[in-house]
Amino acid sequence: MGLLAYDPERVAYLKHHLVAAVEELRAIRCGDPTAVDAMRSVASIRNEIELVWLPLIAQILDNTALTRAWWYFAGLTDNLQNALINVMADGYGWAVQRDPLNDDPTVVTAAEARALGAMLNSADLLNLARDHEQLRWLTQQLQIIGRNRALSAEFLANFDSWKTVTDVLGLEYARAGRPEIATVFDGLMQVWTTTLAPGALTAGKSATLDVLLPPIDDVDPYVQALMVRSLRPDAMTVATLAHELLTNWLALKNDSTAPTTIDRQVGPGPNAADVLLPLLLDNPAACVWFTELAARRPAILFETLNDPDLAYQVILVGTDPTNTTSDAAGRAVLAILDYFRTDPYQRSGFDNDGHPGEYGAFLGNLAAPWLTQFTMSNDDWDASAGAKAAALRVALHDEQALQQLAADAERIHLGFLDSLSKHDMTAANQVGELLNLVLQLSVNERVDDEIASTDERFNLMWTVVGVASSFLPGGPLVGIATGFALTALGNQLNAYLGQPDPTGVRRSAERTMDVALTLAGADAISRLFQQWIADGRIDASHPLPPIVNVGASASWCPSAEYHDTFTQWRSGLPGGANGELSRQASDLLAAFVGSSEAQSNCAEIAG
Amino acid sequence: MRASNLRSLAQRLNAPRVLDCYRSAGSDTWVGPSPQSCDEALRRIPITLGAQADGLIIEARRLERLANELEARARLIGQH
Repeated sequence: MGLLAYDPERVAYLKHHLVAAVEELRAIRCGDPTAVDAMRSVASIRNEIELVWLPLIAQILDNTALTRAWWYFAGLTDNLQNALINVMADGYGWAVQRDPLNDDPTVVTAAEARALGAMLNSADLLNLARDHEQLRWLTQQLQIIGRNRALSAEFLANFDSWKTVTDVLGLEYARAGRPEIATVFDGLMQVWTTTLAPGALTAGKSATLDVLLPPIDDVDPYVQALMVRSLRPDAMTVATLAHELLTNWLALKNDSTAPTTIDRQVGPGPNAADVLLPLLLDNPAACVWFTELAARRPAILFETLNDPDLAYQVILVGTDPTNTTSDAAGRAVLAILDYFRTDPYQRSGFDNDGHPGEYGAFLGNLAAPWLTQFTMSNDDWDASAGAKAAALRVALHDEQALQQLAADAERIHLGFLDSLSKHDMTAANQVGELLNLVLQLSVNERVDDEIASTDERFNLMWTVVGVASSFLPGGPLVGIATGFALTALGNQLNAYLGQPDPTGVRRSAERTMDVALTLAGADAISRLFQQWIADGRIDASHPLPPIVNVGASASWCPSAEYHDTFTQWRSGLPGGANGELSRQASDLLAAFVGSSEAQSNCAEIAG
Repeated sequence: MRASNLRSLAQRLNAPRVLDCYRSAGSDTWVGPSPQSCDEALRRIPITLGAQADGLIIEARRLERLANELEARARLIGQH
């Protein structure tokens, strides 16, 4: 219902003024044909005054003004819908009555905008926060005001309760997550946006909370997060603001003398970070930027979220080879793996205000596209070989991580595509190193903890072998990448593992590694040989490549034995030991059976 | 004569009390959706009437110029 408030004496004077004006207009006469337009305007103005405004004024003055008691009784006071009426009636003692002509809620006058700002300062905010109808109306009014710079200025000139209003509504939102409160934040920030400099919402890396948000003393980070979300800045700007905001959030959380932030007052539920990070996910560049910022202090991600999966998603997008450089990803991946060196969710006093993260699969995903960067001969990342191996160990420590990696051939392949040149020795060396590194970690793990399963590490190795086959010297060995071929290799290894093991754990593990690598290498050679036959480069009657003997004595070393038979075999290839085919086969085998600590040990065993 | 009438009309359009009505109809007098509409309507009146008055003055000048030209031609014809 539309109400109007008025000063009866002034309205009476207006009536008098308008009546005189009408008489004056009526007295204007002119018969000249060139004055027709002018006379039509005079008539039109006179008619509007006579037929619209004077009857309205007469109606207002003829009616007895509604008493204060009536509209209090009718429940028209103490709500924002009648903010203007309340202001004028309470503040100036004006009369109030229904507006006979206008009941359009989509029209907001400058006076109404001012009054709404003033009324919000003194409104019963707790009641407001629970009144769906008033919240809906308030949102509508704020949206209308926010679309008009002048109306926004009128509202903001009178509204000075940012802290109270946003705190009360923010707390209610944290408690109940009601969408109509979020839309009030949208409306308030739409109004506030009219005060911002052009381009402020796309400031990107130079954005700051101070510049973009209303000045509020001791502002709660959760409230800031709601305001940032409602401002709708671009994703890069959100990333920058989110980093600043979450840094503050973490500082408050770790300061025992600081007040508890709103999102943590109400128990488990979305925190400030849960509000902001979803805004980045659709923008890879923003994820990359936020990942770069968060890598400086990973706690900003993992200790602020109620739902750690959000952090995992942002980081995985932010370190994906299609979105970032190897250098930038390296800084982030190594920092995050270092953070997970000790399970953060098990740390004494750790509290992320949410559910514990199942981060194993995340770490596997994180490492998948960058496996070759962990190897010693790859210098993409500014870290020592030891540091990289230690980081990979963190990534592969968890069973879920291994399962994820073993199943994630696509991401591993993506990483290989990004970092390896096809069919050259550098690729072969790096793949070989990677296989050795993965299995070496397996050896170490078994020494540290006999219970830890190495099966997943072997699965990972087969995955790497399969993915890497198209990068190795000799061309794409499609066959080796098939599940069937890898299963056959796995079965051979399992047959070896099923034998009695009278030697110590470490030697057994080293031996297992040697067997696995030799089996993989021998299989690759076998497939290369098939490829030669298919290409007509060698006669099908030529002796087959050697096979791996997996049933030898305790002093037996499969790689050494295989190397011996392989050397004999390749010298019989067309062109001899120094021919092209021999060199190709030798390069390929080197990718699998190269120098490594385990193989050296194995060679010592073999004597 | 016509030009004079038009100038007179223009003068009357620029001086009526209706031009000042909006001064009495602002938020000092009343507030609400209809008062806002009334205020806006009354503020448009001086703009509308002012534009019409300007048009009348231009037309009056044109007529005066035409009359002067006709008089000048008549004088020339009389001399011959």
